[in-house]
Amino acid sequence: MLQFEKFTLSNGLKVLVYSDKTTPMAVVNILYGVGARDEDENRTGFAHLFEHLMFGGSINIPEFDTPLEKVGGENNAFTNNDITNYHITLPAQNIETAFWLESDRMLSLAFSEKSLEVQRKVVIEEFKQRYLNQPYGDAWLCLRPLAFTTHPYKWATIGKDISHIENATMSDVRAFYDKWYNPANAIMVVAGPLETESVKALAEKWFGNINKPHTASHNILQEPEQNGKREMTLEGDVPFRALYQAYHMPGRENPDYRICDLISDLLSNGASSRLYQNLVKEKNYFSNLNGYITGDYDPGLFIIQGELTNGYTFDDVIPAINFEIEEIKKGNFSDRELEKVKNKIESTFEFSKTSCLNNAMNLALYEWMGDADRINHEVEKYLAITKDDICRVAKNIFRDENLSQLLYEPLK
Amino acid sequence: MNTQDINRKIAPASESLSFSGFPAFTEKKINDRFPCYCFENFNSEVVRLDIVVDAGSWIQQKPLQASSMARMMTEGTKEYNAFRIAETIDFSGAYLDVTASNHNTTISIFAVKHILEKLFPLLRSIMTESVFPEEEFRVILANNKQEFIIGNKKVMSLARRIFPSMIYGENHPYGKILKESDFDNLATEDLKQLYNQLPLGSSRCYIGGNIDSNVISSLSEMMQHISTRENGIAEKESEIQPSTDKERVIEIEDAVQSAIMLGIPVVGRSHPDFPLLVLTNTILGGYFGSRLMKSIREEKGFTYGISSGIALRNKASHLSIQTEVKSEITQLALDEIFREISRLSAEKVMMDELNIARNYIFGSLLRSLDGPFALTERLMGVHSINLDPEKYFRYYWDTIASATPEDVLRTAEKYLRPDEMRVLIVGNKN
Repeated sequence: MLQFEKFTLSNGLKVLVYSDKTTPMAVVNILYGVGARDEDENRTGFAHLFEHLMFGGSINIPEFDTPLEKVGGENNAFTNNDITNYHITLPAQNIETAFWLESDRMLSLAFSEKSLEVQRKVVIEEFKQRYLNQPYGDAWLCLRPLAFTTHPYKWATIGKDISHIENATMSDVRAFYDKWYNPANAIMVVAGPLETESVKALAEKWFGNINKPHTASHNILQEPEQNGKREMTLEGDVPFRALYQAYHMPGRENPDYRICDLISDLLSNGASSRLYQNLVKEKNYFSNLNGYITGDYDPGLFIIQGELTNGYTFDDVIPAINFEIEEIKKGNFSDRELEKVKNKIESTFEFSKTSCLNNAMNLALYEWMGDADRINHEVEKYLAITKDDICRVAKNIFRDENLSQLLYEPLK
Repeated sequence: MNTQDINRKIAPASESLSFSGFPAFTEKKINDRFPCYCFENFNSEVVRLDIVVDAGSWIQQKPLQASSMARMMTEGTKEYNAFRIAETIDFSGAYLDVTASNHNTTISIFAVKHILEKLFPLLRSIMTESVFPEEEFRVILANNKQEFIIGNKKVMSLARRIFPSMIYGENHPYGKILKESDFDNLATEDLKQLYNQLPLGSSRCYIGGNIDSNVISSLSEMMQHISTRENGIAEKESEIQPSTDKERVIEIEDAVQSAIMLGIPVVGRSHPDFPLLVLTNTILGGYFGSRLMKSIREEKGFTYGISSGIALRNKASHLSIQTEVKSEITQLALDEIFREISRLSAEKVMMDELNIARNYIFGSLLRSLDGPFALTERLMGVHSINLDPEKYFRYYWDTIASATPEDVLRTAEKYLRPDEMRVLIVGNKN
């Protein structure tokens, strides 16, 4: 059980307190409910570019990092398609510094031209490092628009096109900030050796008078049902063939989401899993092969991805994957195997609890999805999944009409 | 309620950081023989156990021998075949990993307490009767080879594979460059040979988390069955011979970024200058506010990231700076990096900058000592070079606490000698 307390300030900021008396360190985690899916299709990459700008100074504090480093803290952030999350870890006695810094950048940024100019360049280099200068690096840039025709998941967090970043202007940046960076669109989790009362006092002191109304709503085009298999072949300077299969699957609010997660575990979690045992080890069609879910809030993707062993063609290996999928649909797995993947879910949740930062990030995410307390009931929901559930969902998901397939071929 | 007057321009009061000593742990002797170090923590049900054996890649006769032996130890024993090992671990919701570093082979297991006890028969089998089956070996080695080939297509992976050879020399165990053909020249016999000489009798055990007497007694029962051999293959000394060429360029046509690595041998944790070296390195490139990060990323936007770090190994260590930069400005970035290195030994650092780096290091150290699993790692680290944790961390903290700008200048002069640095560029240096 993750025990926490929760209160909301009058400006709408939700605050959760997770008390852990065994650590001398405190975590301040702030989630803003904005991600790449909230971007305009002609101005993609903004949520992520913005995350960079959040370190470029706020209205009263010229530099974000220095004062934090001075009191022994460190911080980082990430952006995904749904949310932007910022976290600070610092010695608990200096926690007020985190409140001061985070509240000022929620109040207003400095909007320095220099910072925008430099961070544009930094993000362009990030784009090159992750997507252009790596073998298979562009696969996901192509797979997303293949699988999604409509939903904004069709572009990556880094952006659809590098020119969108290059052309970002200060007025775009301001508009984005005003629209999304408001107390009522944020969730703060404070974790560490702390009492709720002292956190409440600090939250009121630093965040209480940030009065910025939040009116924006997520206006997201939902993906229509796919009604035909899609396929694409990429050629590039890569040493081996690689396969990417993407099936549409339900979003996080749908109970079938967990069933998909469990199917991915049957296929691919651990060295005893089916894809690894049968296709990597026994047949050795692949040097590695993974089945996983993208974990998106809206309906996302169930991915099967791997690099082929030298000598095999796509025609050799795809039927073998289909065979493994058919086995799941038919329920050809033992009760012990189902129990195994449930045990793994249980221990994964238990292991994750050993980190105060993980706990803070998870509480923020679950609160954003509706209710932080849901995290305490996840395991029991997984444990209730039956073989019939798995067969039903597998039949529903793994259909050719629901598949987008990308084949990566080495240049001749 | 929310109308308190606050001055947002001024940082709230903060406390200076202090070190209250390396956290308490207990040391037991298991079966009057094996030292066992325990960090108790009852926050969760999880336990981590590490068994450290003194034998690693330093003593291998062929490349990949030690790492492949470690990898293959869990691929079949007299009692369990590979699938049964994997299935038992997965069914238990546990994680099992056997890894070889330069000087150690470590068996690590994470599990919920009541399950860990049941896994000792399996652990015992892995430590005493692994069989290294041919079929499993061929597949795993071939897959590793493919992964290696893909890695060679990434500028930074390739740079990391080659750079140590420029610092230590290609004949030094720390400087060997792995080649594709090395994957073809290894046999299961090589793994068995190394395995049969593991000095299991000198194992050390580290346990963190929710420890109870059952775990200890099961561990002790298991350790009765392992070999008492205390001496394995002796580690021969090897001379460091830096490369004759100071700068090497590996041209990758069409690379949109170049990987740059540069560095120099430095002293390690046993040396009294080490804390000051960490401080100097931190100022140069060890954190987000460092000079390299500020100059190369935050002022010029040449890169997504740049860092400087000390690669610590038991017998020798080196400092290295690494980054991936926009190809067109590779030389410009390199010049800029050298300018920052020279500036550290040319002019004294300002007290404010020194204090930020100092506190950053203190915060990092406190974070790294947080929680039982982090602590077992720290303890394994200092034990690997025979240091006492309390003395080591106390000296480290106190030396950095009293460091002056003169100390940083002197340390930079002594260790960051630009003329002796080796530089490797993988990419496109137009």
